[in-house]
Amino acid sequence: MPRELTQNRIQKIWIPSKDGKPSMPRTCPHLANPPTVIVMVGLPARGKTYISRKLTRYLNWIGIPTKVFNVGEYRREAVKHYSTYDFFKSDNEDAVKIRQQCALAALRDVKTYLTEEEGQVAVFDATNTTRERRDMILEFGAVNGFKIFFIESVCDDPNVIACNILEVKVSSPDYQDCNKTDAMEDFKKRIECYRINYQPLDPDRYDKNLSFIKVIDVGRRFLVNRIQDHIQSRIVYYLMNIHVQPRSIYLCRHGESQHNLQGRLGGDSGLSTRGRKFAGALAKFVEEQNLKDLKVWTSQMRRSIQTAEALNVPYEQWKALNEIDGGVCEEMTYEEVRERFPDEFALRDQDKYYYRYPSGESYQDLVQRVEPVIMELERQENVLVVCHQAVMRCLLAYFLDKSADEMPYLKCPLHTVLKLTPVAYGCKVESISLNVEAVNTHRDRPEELKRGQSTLIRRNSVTPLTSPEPNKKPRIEGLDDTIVREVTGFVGVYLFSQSCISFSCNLSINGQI
Amino acid sequence: MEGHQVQNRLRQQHPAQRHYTWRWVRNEIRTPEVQETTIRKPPSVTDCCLRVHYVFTAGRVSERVIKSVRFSMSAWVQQEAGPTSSAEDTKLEPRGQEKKCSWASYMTNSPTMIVMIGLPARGKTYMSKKLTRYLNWIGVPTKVFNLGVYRREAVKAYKSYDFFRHDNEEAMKIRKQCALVALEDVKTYLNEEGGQIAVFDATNTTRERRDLILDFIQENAYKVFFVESVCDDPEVIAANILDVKVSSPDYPETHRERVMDDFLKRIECYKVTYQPLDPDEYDKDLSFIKVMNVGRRYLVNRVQDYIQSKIVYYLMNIHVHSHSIYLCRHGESEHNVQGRIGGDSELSPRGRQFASALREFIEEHKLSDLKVWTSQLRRTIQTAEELGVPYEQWKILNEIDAGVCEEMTYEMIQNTFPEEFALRDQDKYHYRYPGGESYQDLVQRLEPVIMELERQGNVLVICHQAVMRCLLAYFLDKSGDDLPYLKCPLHTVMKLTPVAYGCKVEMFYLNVEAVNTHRDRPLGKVRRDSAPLLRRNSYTPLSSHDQVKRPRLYSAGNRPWLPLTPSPTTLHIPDSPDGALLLQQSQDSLREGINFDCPDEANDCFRF
Repeated sequence: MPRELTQNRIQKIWIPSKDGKPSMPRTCPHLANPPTVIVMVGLPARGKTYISRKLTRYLNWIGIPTKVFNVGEYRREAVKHYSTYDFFKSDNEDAVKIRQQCALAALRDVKTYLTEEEGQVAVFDATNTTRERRDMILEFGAVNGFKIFFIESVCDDPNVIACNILEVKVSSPDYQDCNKTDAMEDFKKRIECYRINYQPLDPDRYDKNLSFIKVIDVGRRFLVNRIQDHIQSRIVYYLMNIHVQPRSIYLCRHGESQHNLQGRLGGDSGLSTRGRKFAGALAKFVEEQNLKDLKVWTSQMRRSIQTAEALNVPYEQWKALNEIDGGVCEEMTYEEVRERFPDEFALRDQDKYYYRYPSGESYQDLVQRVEPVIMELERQENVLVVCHQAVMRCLLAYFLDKSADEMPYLKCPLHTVLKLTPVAYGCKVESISLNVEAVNTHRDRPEELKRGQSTLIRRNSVTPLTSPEPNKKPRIEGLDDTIVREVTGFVGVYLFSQSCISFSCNLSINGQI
Repeated sequence: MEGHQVQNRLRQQHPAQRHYTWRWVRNEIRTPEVQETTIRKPPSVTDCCLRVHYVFTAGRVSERVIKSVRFSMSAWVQQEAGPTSSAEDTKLEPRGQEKKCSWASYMTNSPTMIVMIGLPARGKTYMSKKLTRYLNWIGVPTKVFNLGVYRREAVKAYKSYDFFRHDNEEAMKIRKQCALVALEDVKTYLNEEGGQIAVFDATNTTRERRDLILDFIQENAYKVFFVESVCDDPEVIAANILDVKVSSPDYPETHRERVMDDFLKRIECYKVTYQPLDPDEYDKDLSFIKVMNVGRRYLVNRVQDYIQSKIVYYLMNIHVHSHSIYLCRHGESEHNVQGRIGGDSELSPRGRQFASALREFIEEHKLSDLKVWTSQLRRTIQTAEELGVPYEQWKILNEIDAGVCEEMTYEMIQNTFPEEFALRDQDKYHYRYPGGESYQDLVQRLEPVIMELERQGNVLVICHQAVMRCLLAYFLDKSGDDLPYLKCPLHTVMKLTPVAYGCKVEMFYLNVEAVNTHRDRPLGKVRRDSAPLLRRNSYTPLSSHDQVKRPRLYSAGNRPWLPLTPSPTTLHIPDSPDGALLLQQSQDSLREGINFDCPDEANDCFRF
C-alpha cells in the first residue's frame, strides 16, 4: 500500500507517511552507506594534517559529517612536556607504549563518533607508517563494519619538507620554548626515527587489496587502488584537484543593482549608478593588485556581467554562480514576501539553510550547485569571482569552514572585496571596502532565534566554535591521570563583522604525533 | 549610461575578441529581431497591476500565475528604471558571435589530443569510444581517430598476423603512413572543424611512435594526454577478443579458434617492441593516466587542466561489470492529462495503475540489488512508493524548469509568449525558458547522475521526459540536435544494457494507457546546418567515414595500392553490429513520423 505524501514545509520535500507518522526518506543521496575511516599514512611533515583538514572541510561543506582525529593531540594530551626526538625512537619502550595507547584512545573516539554521534567519515590523522599499525586499524574497521580508505603522502623533495616544517611544525606547541633552528633540527631527527620502520603501502603485493590513494610529490602523481564507492571516488577527485601553489582568491558581489536599491530579491536587473561606480573602482583595484593571470568569473546574470565588463579583462560566465532562486518570491521586497507569504517568511527564519523557496532553491541546494565551482577554484590560481550574496556566502563558508547554521548569515556587503589567501591549515581573509556607498542587503538572524538550536546535520571540522576539540582526556587509559593539561589553544582572532578590516582564522596549531 | 559607453568603447577597440564584447545571454539563441519586439511591447503598467490584482484576490494563489506576473513585472521594472533597459545594447549586439558552446567546452581552452597506449585487446577502443561519447555529451566536440580503420582502408585484405611483425618492413611503412594520415586528419579536425578533443586510438606502444606524436603536438601547440591500458589478466583479454575482435572486418568468416589464435599472435608481435610509459624516468614529465587491470588501479601523472581532470575522474568511475539501467518516467500525472507542462501534480488514476504495473515488472524481472532513484517531484515519488522498495530522491533529477511557462499548456504558451514559443522550435536544445532552464543546462545538471550511473550496478531511474531524453542521449550517443526530440513515452520502461562498444535498448510498454506528451520537431524546421561544431557523434559512421581521407593519403606520396573510391564495405566499421542493429530498430520505432533522414544515410550505414 503506497504511503501518503506530505510536504516538509521547510525543505519542500515530499515525505511518505504511514498512519500519520512520517518516515524520513533518504533525500540527497548519500551513497556512502557504511561509515568510512580515512587513514593517513606518511612520514612527518608530508602534509598529512593539511590534507586531513582540507578534506574534512570539503566533506563537511558538501554535507557529509566528518571529523579529524589527530593522534598528535592525544599524545600531547598524555605527555605534557615534549623534550626531544628521543621520544620517537623505536627503542624507547615507554614512549612506544604511550603512543600505542594514544592511538587506541583515538580509535575509540572514532568509533563513538561514527556509531553514536552521526558522523559519516572519520579522518585518522597519524603517521601509520608500519604494517602492524595499519593491520590493527584494518581489524578495527572489520570489527565495527567501517570502510577503510588510506591516503598516503609520499614526498622526497627536501625543499618541500623544509617548507612544511618551517610553516607548521616549528610553531607547534611541542617547540614553544625552542628557537627555530633547534626545532627544525629536532624535527628532522624525529622524521628519521620514523623512517627506520616506514613500510609504504605496497600496491603490488601486501596491500594490493586495500583501497587507497598515494599522493606523490604534492600532487604531481597519484596512484589509486580499488576505489569502492561514491565517497571514495569524490575524495580521490578532490585530492587530485587541490594544489599548494601560493595564490589568492578574490570574492565580491556585483555592483549595487536597481533591485538592490528597491530592496527587491533576485531578478535580473542592471547596475545602479553607484553600482557602475563600484565596477570602475573594482577595475582600479584589480589593476593595483597587479596579478598575473587573474581569472575573472561571473554568473550569467546581468549585474555581475556588467560589473565584470568594466574590468576590461577576459572573463567567464558560470550559470552555477547565479543567485539563489527565490521561486515565487523573486523580485519581491521582504515586506511583500512577509505580506503575501507570511508562513513562508516565518519558515525561512526558522531554518534558513534548509529552507527552500516554493519552486525555488535553498542554501543547501546552492551548495550542491556551486560544488563544481569550488572544485575549479581549487584547481586554479588567482581568481576573482563576481557573484551574489547567497552564492558568496556558500563559497565563503567553504573557505572559512563555517557551519550550515552560520552560512546564511555571513556578512557579504556590497562593494567590498574579500581576499582569501591560504595559509598553513587555514585561510587568511582580508576585507577591502572600495569606498563606494551602497545599500545594505544583509538581514540579521531574527533576535528571538539567535540562540536557537543549531542543526546537527553538519559539523565543522576546524572552526573552534563548532568543532569540539577531539581530545577526550579521561579516555586515555593506563596512563597517569595527573599528567593532564589544558588543551592546546588556538591562535587567531575570530571576528566577522563589516567593520573588521582583516582577520585570520583557523590558525589552530597542531603538530604531529 | 557610463556602462554603455564603456561597453561600446570596448567593442570598438576589440571587435574581434569575443571576450570583450557584451555577452549577456538569457536565452542563448535569441536574435536581434526578437529582442526588439520584446522591448517594443513591454507589458503595460495597468496590465501588470490587473493581473496582480486578479492573482491575489483569487484566494488560492497559484505559483504559475505569480511567476508569469513576475516575468512581466521584471520587464516593467526594468523599463521604469530606465538606464538599464537593454534596448540599445540589443541593437548593437553582434548576436551572431555568441558562443553557443557548453561550459565544459568553455573550459577546454586549447585543443587536446588524447593518445591511447596499449597492446591490442586492452580495451583501448572501448575507452576511446566511451570517453568520446561522454565528452560530446557534456558539450566538448570530440572525435575518435582509429588507426585500425585507416589501416584497413589502406590494405584491404587482411591475411594474418604476419602483417604486424615488426620485421615486416613493407607493412611497417604502411602502418606509419597510416598514422601520419590520421594525424593530418586530427590536425584538420582540431584546426578547421571546430573540434576540441581528438582521441587517437592506436596501440602507440613504442617510444618512437609517441615521440613522433609529441613532435606533432608541439608543432601545432596542442595539449596531449596519454591513456595507457595495462592488463595481464588472460581471462579479461580473451573475453575482449571474443567480444569485439572476432567480429572485426579483419576476420570475415573464419573460425573462432583460428581468430583467437591469430589475434593472440598479433598481440605477441606488439609485445616484442612494447615500451610502457615510464613514470619514473623517461615519461615523468608527460600527462597521463595508466589504467591497470580494467580499473583496479590507476596511476595518474601531472594532470594539467580542467578537461584532463574530468577525463581522469570519468575513467576512474566507469566499470565493465555487466549491469542494466532501467529508465522510465513517472506514471501519468494530472498535469499530463490536462496537457500542462511542469508543475508538481499528483498521479492520475492511470498513473497509479502504471505504478502497480511497474512493481510487477520489477518482480517479474527478478532484479536483485536494484537501486531506485526518483526526482523530488511528487509524481515520481508516488510512482516509486508503489514499488515497496527503498529509493533515493535526487533534486537534480527534477524535470526541466520551464520558468515562466511552468504549468501552462502548449497553447497557452503560444498565446502568451508567441516569440518564446517560436524561439524554442528554432533551437530546442539551446533554448532556455525565461527564468528557467534549457536542455543544455539540464545536461550539465545531470552530469553527476551519469557519473553515478556509471559506478552503480542495476538502477531504475524514475524521472521525467526532458531528463530521460538527456540520459538516453548519453547512452545512445545522440546529438544535441536530436536529443530534445527523442521519444520517451509515458508508461514505458527502457532497459539499457552495455554491449561491446555500444548500448542495447529494449523497450517494455507496460500496457497502461496514457496521454502522448511528445511534441514532434516542427516540419520544415529540420535544421541540419545548425550545429556542425557543437556536438558530433563519436561513432556515427558518418563521422568515422570522414576519418578516411583517401586523396590525402594518396597525395602524401604513396604508391597507388590505395583504392580511390570507397567501397560500400568499408563503411561498415565494426562498431558492434549487434548493438547497433538492435538500437537502430528500437530508435526507428521511436521515431515514427519524424523525418530524421539525411542524405548520407542512404548509404545504408548504422546511425550511431
